[in-house]
Formats: sequence, structure tokens, C-alpha cells
Amino acid sequence: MAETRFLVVRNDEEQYSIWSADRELPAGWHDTGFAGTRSECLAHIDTVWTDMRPRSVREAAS
Amino acid sequence: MTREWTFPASFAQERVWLANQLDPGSPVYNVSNPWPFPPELDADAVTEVFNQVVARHEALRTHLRSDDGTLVQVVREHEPVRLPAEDLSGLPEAERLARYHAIREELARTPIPLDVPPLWRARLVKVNEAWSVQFVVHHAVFDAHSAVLFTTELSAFTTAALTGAPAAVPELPIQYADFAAWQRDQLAGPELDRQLDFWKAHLAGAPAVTGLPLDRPRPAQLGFAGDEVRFDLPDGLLDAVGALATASAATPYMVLLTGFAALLSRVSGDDTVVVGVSTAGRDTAEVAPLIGMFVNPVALRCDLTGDPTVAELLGRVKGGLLDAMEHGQTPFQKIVEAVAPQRDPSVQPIFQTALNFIPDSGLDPVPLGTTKDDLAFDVTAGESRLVYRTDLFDRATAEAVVARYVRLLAAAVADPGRRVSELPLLDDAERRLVLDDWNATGHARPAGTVVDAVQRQAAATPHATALVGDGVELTYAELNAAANRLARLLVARGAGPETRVALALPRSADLLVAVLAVLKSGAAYVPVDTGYPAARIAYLLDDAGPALVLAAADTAALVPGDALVLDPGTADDLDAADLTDADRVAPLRPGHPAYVLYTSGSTGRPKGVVVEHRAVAAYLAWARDAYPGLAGTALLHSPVSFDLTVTGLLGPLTAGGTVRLAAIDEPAARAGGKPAFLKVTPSHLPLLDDALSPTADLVIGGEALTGEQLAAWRAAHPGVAVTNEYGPTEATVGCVAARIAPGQELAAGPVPIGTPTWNTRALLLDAALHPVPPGVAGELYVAGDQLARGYLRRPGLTAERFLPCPYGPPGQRMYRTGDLARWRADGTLEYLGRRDDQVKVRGMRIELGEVESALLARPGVRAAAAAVRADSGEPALVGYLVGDADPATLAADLARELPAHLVPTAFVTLDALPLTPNGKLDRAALPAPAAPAAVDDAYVAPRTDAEALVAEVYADILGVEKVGAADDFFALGGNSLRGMRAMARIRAEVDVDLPMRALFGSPVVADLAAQIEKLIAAELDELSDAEVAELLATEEGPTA
Repeated sequence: MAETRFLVVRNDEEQYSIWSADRELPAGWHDTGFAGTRSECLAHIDTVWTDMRPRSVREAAS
Repeated sequence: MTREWTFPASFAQERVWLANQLDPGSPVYNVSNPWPFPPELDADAVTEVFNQVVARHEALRTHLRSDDGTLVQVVREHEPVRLPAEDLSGLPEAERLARYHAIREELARTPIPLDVPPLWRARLVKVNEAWSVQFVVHHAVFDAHSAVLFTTELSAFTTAALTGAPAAVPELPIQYADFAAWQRDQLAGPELDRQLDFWKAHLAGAPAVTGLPLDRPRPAQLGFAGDEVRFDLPDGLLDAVGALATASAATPYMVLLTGFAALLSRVSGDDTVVVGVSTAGRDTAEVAPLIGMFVNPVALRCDLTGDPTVAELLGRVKGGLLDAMEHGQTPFQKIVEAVAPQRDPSVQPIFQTALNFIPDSGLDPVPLGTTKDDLAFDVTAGESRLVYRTDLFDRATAEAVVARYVRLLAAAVADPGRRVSELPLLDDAERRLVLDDWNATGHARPAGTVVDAVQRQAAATPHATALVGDGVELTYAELNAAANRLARLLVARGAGPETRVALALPRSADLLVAVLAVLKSGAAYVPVDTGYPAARIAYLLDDAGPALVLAAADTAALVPGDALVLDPGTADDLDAADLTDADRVAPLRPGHPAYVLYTSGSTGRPKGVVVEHRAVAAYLAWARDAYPGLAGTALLHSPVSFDLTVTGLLGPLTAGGTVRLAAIDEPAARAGGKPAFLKVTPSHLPLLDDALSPTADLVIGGEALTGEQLAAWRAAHPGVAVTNEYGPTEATVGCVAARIAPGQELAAGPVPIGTPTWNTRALLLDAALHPVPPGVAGELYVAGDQLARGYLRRPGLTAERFLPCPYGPPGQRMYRTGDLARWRADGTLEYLGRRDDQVKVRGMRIELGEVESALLARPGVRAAAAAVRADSGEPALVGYLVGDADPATLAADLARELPAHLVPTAFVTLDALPLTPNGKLDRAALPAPAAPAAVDDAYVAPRTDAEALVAEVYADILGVEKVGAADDFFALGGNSLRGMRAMARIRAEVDVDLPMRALFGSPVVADLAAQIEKLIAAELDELSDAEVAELLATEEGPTA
């Protein structure tokens, strides 16, 4: 049985998460283009989500 | 004298007889089969027709008898009977029908003893112009196909009576007893072994008990009490079922089963379900025309792993059913003995749910109020029904099961390409209820940071006491000023928004000042529990990467040398005014972190949960409203590193209350009168003496709570509200809470965790993230204002636990708690434990909370815990108790109340339960029970006459040399048949009416002996004084 495929997704606050590829993505979330197994997706997020401040907090500070 | 002949009973008769022994007074095996005659036949003619059918079938002249523990069927020669006849046609219409129904119900509900011929009751009733026979027969000699034969033959003999022609009935080449003998011959030796091997493989690893959510815990012993919900399938659904069957080269029954398996899996969360299926048991032509009991149940294991589509599941069900049918003649009781030799009288072995498809025959006309299974569907082309066990389910639940089955089946046959996880379980109204109505938590609250809230309070009540303890007492003005001065120093040392300041401080006034100062500087505080081992402190400081570490003189050695050590007067020369953004390195916003708390997951290293001001302020706003006691004195006793503590720390300081600093066992905790507010874990409850008990609010969090734990405290403090607060650190202190008002009734068992806090939503979802219906266990997800930002510098872990929320505003996240819960019908949540803590012993799911509740309810138990341990290899349930209860008595008491699998097999008495520094039960510190004594040492010689008798009978029947008072019949290799023999022997020896179920309930020699003694005593009680005197006189002989 094939392992479930996940997408790396992101919301407008630029917070990352993962979502099963065969489920409809909830509103307000966007596919970042990276897909893979759960652990591949989480490992990818570990490399790209370097600033965990929500975008609104980050922008208010700059 | 009527002649009679004795033959071996068939396996099916034996099975029904054994099951019937569990409650011989129940009509559960009565089958009703009324039949109308044409008006041309009078009562005599009708009786003659009936007698002709009885004459043809030995089964209708058969009863069962236990001959020295061997079950035999006794066939009597035919003697025509007169049927009682009652002519109602002269009565007024209303009376007539009432009498008719009364007769039917009386017949249907009167038990038929298996050892008294005949095993049926028949009466003739004339309602209008014609007679009908009201026929009720025991299942031991009759089955569904028999019902068809019976009416066909009545019809044939009726036609013969009307026309004078011979009746068109087939020759009967053999009789039922011949079949029974043939079957005994066939199903023996290697052939039986081969069949049993199939069943062992078929059922290996299948759940021993369905995971269906129950409305009530299983009683220690099941009875047959049941009820039924009748319903009609929607028009066209059976046609659609048939069409899918045809298209899939399957039968309609397989499609109905597929829907049922899907329902069971969705509702229980099990990905393997076992369903009882009846086989006709008439595999040869000779038995086809015979009335008799041929049916044999088989267990169909349905595999739902990998979330199959409906079509895939149908294929699996078809394959499984064909395999199972091929082995359908294996006597079910042999399968039980081979697969589930451990008796648990609280659970029907192998399967607890069943589905029958009887398209053409109608249902029994009279509901018997009995059931054999926990849940069983009888689907027909007309009226269908769900029979359910009333010990376990409420009617409303059974009705919901029916509605869900119909909805799910309709969706499945409409689109067999859908995955089982995508089939609709809820209707629109239920969906709205669980997603919206029970989450209508919208509430306006002040915006801003925690700092705003504290400073607003300080400005409002500057002279009120904010802090007592540690030898000091500070007003709000003083506390605020001290915090402001220290905050300026922290800012100067680099603290500010998005930085962290670690606090390695003991519980002290300085700690409180430091918490506020860090918040005011804009940084997040990171509490470091100074009681932790050095390695853990080093890990935490390394992981948190604080801009600054604060320590006290006596804790400085625990932290790096560049820590800021707080001395009296450290920041005395700085400005005491509130800081503004201009005083900070960057402006402070509600989106900035307020604290980082470290939590230990079940796996991996502790991780820092980053909680923003926004979330803390949201929780505090709700808490101020929920807990009036926060405006009084709150005892702060738990470590600041524990998020439960936030309520008693920041709560009072934003509500005008006073924080009293003291450990729960210090005199200072009791100085100055009772607190108004106290928050504890359930493990603390036994420690709460009167001086410590709050006057307004007792809040309990951190662990699951039961009514038993609370009962004593509430009885002693009737005027205090108790709130059960649930919340992971990731959703800020408490996100779901249940307030139990003073005087409010509180049932035993789990206390609900209640409803979501302001602007928080609680979602109970299944593995496919669909909402689960009320009553069904789901994983709890939390969304809303109180969600943490995530885990400090762990983006992957954060992404894994904070998921896109499909049920909220666009872009919202939901936190996956890992906890299981279910909605009660009143819209409150009930906590069911950790998802990964689901423990099983011998395939039975163990609810530790249920065991702990039962322990606590016993006298002499002050505190209790239960754990599953594998110290000796096999997992075993261990009970821990504090108190003077005797473990042996306790075990016996529990065995009467709880299903056998929930009774601990070992007990450990402790002085106190081990607690973690946070006050939670420290499960890892529970000691292993003493190793069980070796078998020889466990031998307890029988101590009473009754024990000696039982031990001797066991030894004889089981061929065991030495049987002691503590030995268990089934553990020694006993089975139902041998049990039957044992009971017959005992009954013969002591002449008491010892029911078969006594052995299942008390298989241990000493327990069964006690039952026997009790029965003898009861029989003595029933005698009148005169009779007793007479008895004694006879025994003792004349003395005068």
C-alpha cells in the first residue's frame, strides 16, 4: 500500500503546514509546490520556514 | 406411557442450550410463527392439520435433557394434542383485538424450559370468521427455514383437508436426530482440527471486543435484556443494493454487510471489525425439508485497513464471506473454545454485532425485549429492525445507528468509488450542531497584551494587596513599580519582543516581579524549574536561546556565569513608571510571545511552546469571567513552568485579586484564611484540607477527573463551584471547561470537560478529519484565539501539529491535541484519554479511568491508579491503592462490578501515589507488583466443604490432579461442555438449583463454593420456621 502523499501548504500569515494530497485544501491555504511523504514534507518545512513569526507580526516590526 | 428415544444433541442444540442457561428465565430464544387458517376449517379440523405437521417432524416432539452432564435430545412418539381454542369473534371489536394481542404477547414472552416437552406453545384463536394458530417455539428445535417449512406444510395439509386429496408434502428420508448423529461423526478428529485452524487464522489479531462507543460501561455479566428499533429502508434502496450486487458479482447481503462493516469501522475507529453472520447449516438435500435447528453463526472478519473504496471493501467482504461460509459448519462453540478460551461474561465471545438479511420473511410479530448481540440488524424487504442491548445503549443511540446505517448505505451504493472514510455519517443538522451550535463561543473582549491588562488593574486598584508570601506583602502599585524598574534593566540588557528571558528563580516575590518585568520588556519568559537535574536545565537553556538568564543568589550555581543575579535593590535606581514602546527596543504587540513553556511529549525531547500575548490575554479574559474567585486570594503553589499555574499567577493580577505564594504543604499556604481561588490537579485533591479549600472556585486541570475523586471534597464544601478545565499548553492553559455549580448533581465516572472557552472551537474529527457524530470518539482539535504560535525553532513539528482548519475562517490553523473525546448529547465534551495511550490486554481495550473510578468507589481506598504493565512479559492490569482496603476483598468486589478484563490481576498498596513536580500522577514511578507466586506456592487447599466439593468435581472433570481453592475452571482447561458436566455433578451432590451462569461468573473454586453456600442459605431462608424446626428435628432426632 502506497504511503499517503502530502503537500506542503502555507497560509497568508506564512505559517506552514501539511495536507493530504487527495483532500480538498481548506480556504486560505496555498500549495507551495512541494509534495512527498509526511516526513519528507516536514523535513522540507524545517529548511524553508526559517522565521516562524506570523507575517503580520514580522511586518509590524519592520 | 409415551415412548421416548434418546439421541445425542446436535452442536446447534448444545450451543442454544448453553446460551439459554445464562438466563433460563428469558424468552430470548422464542420464535413466533402465527398462521391463519381458511374459514372453512373448524377448530377440530385445524387441530388435525396442526397434528399432522407435528407427526411428521421429530424436532417438534423433541426436548433436551442433561444426562450426567451430557446433553441429549429426547424424541417422544407422536400423540395427537388438543390445542386450547379461544373464540373472540363474539367480543366487541376493541376488546377482541386487545385480547388477541394479549394472547400473542403472553405466548411470545413466556419462557419455554428446554427440559419439558414439548418445546412449543400453540393456541387457536378466532378473531373474525376464521381460526388461526398462534405458535411459539424454542429456537433449539426451529430456525428461519423451519418457519418456511412449517407454514408450507400447514398450508398443504389445509388444502388436503379442504379437497380430500393427499397432502403435497415431500418424503422425509431422515429425521433431525439422524442429522445430529451424522454431524457428530463428521465434525471430529482431523477434519474438525482443519476447520478450527481456518478459524484461528481467520480471526487472528481481530479485536476481541468491538470498539463501538457505549452509553454505559459493560456490566460484569451480560444478560439478554434488549429492545428494538423498527424502520423501513427508503424506497428504492434495496433495489440499488441489488443493482450494485449484480454489477459486482456479489449478493445483496454482501452489499448490506459492506455498509454495516463501514459503519462499524467509522463509528468505532477500528480498522478490523468482526460481524456475526448466520449460515443456514443445511448443506445436504436430505435435511432441506426438515424442521429443526440447523443454523450456525460464523464470524466474518472485515478488513478496512488502508481506507478502501466501497467497491474494494465489497470485494473483501465477498472473499471473506465465501471463505467463512465454506467453513460454516464448524460448530460455533468449538470456535469459541479454540479462539477465545478466556471467559469474560461481560462480553459475547468473538463477535458482538450481527446482520441478517431475511428479504421475504417478516419480523417476529412481538418484540421480546431481548437480544443475543450488542447490536444486530434484521433487514427485510418490508419492515426492518435493529435489536440492541439495553445494558449498553440508549434508545436514542440505537435510533442514531439506524439513521447512520441507512445514510451511509445509500451513499455507498450510489457511488461505490467513494472511500469508506468519505461516506457521510452525519446529517446536516448534526453537522451544524457539532461544528457550529456547540462552538458558538464568539465573545467580545478587550484587545491588547497581558501587560496592558496588568497595568490597567494596577492603575485601578493601586493600594490593593497584589502579593503575599515569601515574607513580603506588596500592593499593586509596589509590585508594578518593582516590575517596571526591573523591566528597564532587562531592556538595557537586550530583552525585547521576540527575545526570551529565562527565569531560574525559586517560588518567591522576586519570581513574580521578574515574570511581570520580562513581559513589560516585551520579551517572553521561560521558567526554569530549579529542582530539575542539571542536564535538563542545560538542555533547556541551550534550546531556548535566551537573551538573558535571571537567577537568585541560591540558584546562580545552576545556570551559566553570565546570568543576572537578582539582589535586593538590583534595579532600585531605575524609573518606576510603566514602560512605553519608546522605552523598549521595539514596540510590543499582542502577536509577540509572552512565554515559552517546555513540555515533554511521550516521545522525543522537551519542546518549547511559544504562547503569544494575544492568546494569554484571551484566556485570562475568559478566566476572569468564569472564576469570580480570582478577584480574591489565589494560592500559587504549583511551579511556574507548568501552564496550569498561569491562572493563579496572572489571573488575580488582572482581576484585582491577591496572589499568595506557598507550597501546598507549607503553613504559609493556610495563613490569612482560606483562599477564594485554588487550582490543582486531581492528584492533589486528597491533600486539600479544610484550611486550604477555596471559598469560591476550585479549578481542576492537568489530568482526567472522575466524579468519585470529587465526591468527598464537594460533600465537605457544598458552597463552592468546581471547574474541570482541559487544555494543552499549545492552546493556552485551558480551552475547554466544565463548571459544576454548588449543589449540582455529579454522576460517578468521568467528569465532562465541558465546552470551549471564548472564541475557541473544539472539533472532534476522525482520521480523515471529518467531524464525528455525538457519542462517537474522535480526536480533539482546537482552533481559535488561544492557539500557541508553535514550537520554538521546530518548524516541522509545528507544521505537523498545527494543521489547516477546514471548518473555520480562511487560513485558520487547528491544533491536534492527540486526545480522544466525545460529545455528550448535551453538547459538553467528555475526555477519553490519550490517543497513543490506548492500552489493550488480551485484545480487550482497557479504560484505565474506569478501573480507577471503580477502585476509588470502594471503602478503604483513598487514592487509586491503574496501569498496564508488562513486567513479566504478558501485559497485565495492575491496581495501585492508598488506604487500608484488602486487595483480595477488593478484587472480589471489583469482579462483581466490572467486566473481567477491567479487574486488576495484581494490586500494590502505597503510602501515597507518586506525583510529578507539577502534581500529576507520575506513572513512570509506579512500582512493579510483586512477582506472582510460583504455581505450587499458589496452591490453596480447599478450606470448606463446599470448596472441597467444587475442587473435587473440577479435578475429576478436567483430569487435573490437584485443584485448590484459588484455581479457575477455565484456566485449568475447562470449556462450556465440561462446565455443563461440572454443574450437573455439583447439582446432583448438593441438590441446589445452581445456574450455569454461576460458573461463568465465578469460575474460581472459592467463588463458586461461596455461591453454592449462598444458595443453600437462601433455600433455608425460604423455609418457614416450622419447616426449619422440622428439618432440624429430623436431623438431630428427638432430644427429649
